[in-house]
Amino acid sequence: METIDRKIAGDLLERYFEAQTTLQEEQQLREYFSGTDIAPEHAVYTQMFCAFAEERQQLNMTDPTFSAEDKFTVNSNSKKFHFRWMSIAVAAALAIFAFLMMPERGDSLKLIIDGVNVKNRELAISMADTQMEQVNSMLGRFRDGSTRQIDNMNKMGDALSPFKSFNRILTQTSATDRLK
Amino acid sequence: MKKVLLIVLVAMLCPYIVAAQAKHIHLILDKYEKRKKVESIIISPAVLQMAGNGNYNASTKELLSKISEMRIVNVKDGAEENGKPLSIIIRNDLDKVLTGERFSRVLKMQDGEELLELFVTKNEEGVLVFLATSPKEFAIISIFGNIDKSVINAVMTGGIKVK
Repeated sequence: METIDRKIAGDLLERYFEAQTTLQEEQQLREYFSGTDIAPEHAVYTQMFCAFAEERQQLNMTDPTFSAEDKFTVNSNSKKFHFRWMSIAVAAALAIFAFLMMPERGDSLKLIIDGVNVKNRELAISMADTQMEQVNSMLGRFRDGSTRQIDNMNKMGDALSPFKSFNRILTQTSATDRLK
Repeated sequence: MKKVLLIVLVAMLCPYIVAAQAKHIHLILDKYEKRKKVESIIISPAVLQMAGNGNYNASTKELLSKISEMRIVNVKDGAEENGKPLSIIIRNDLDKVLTGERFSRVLKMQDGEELLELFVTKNEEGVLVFLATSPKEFAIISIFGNIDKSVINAVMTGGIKVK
């Protein structure tokens, strides 16, 4: 498409702000602002038209008025755009997967007896406490038993120590006899 | 971007891979907790407290912060499935997991007709399982979370009680 000169651009701008421009004229304006020959008094509108152009590229990449270069840029931008959304979608899918894989365990206390949910906190605590007490009691017996066994081993060691001394004396005596 | 996605994917799946053993125990308990003559209690750490320690001090808080959940399933004598004692069926299911490479038996104690066994996952992130067998009942007490030495020690010394 032909690039318009500064004067036509000025006229078109006036018509643009009065909402009287056609789509083709708006495209001409965009091309004018994307070029290098922009009148200094029009420079303030450059940002606006370039921003519109970017937005338009994202929204309407199949527009036949796009140049090949534009289409390439739009496609790569669009790919980035899609990829960003794809990554968000994957993250969301993983979050849902995680939610489904891990059953709800938000209950601070839950009691089921014979397949029936019993909403009785005190009973649940009491039953759990009883169960833990039983285990602790068994562990206590285990600890006592272990301690007793260690004590017995120590006692046996103490009982055997005189024999060790006696054996040492006997060994020493036989050694001195042999020397003589 | 693909690398980032891959890292995110691995990071998100890692806890599930590591917690697979805990999940197996959860699944077994979930499967049998609603049967007849079975009692099931699920307790959050908020309900747990350290025995003989009324004050909630820093060490207690630290210890309880490692526990994510406690589950007790108690199978009463007479509970059956297809004419077979339910306790034996559950025990068989549990043995498949507990006798695997990822668990180690820390304790086995026979006292008369009572048998107490303690299994712990070899990696810290996992589960601690007590199996208490007696003629009257078969109880599975499982503690899930970061099961390190401090938790095992607290459990072994009867340090964890329910309020």
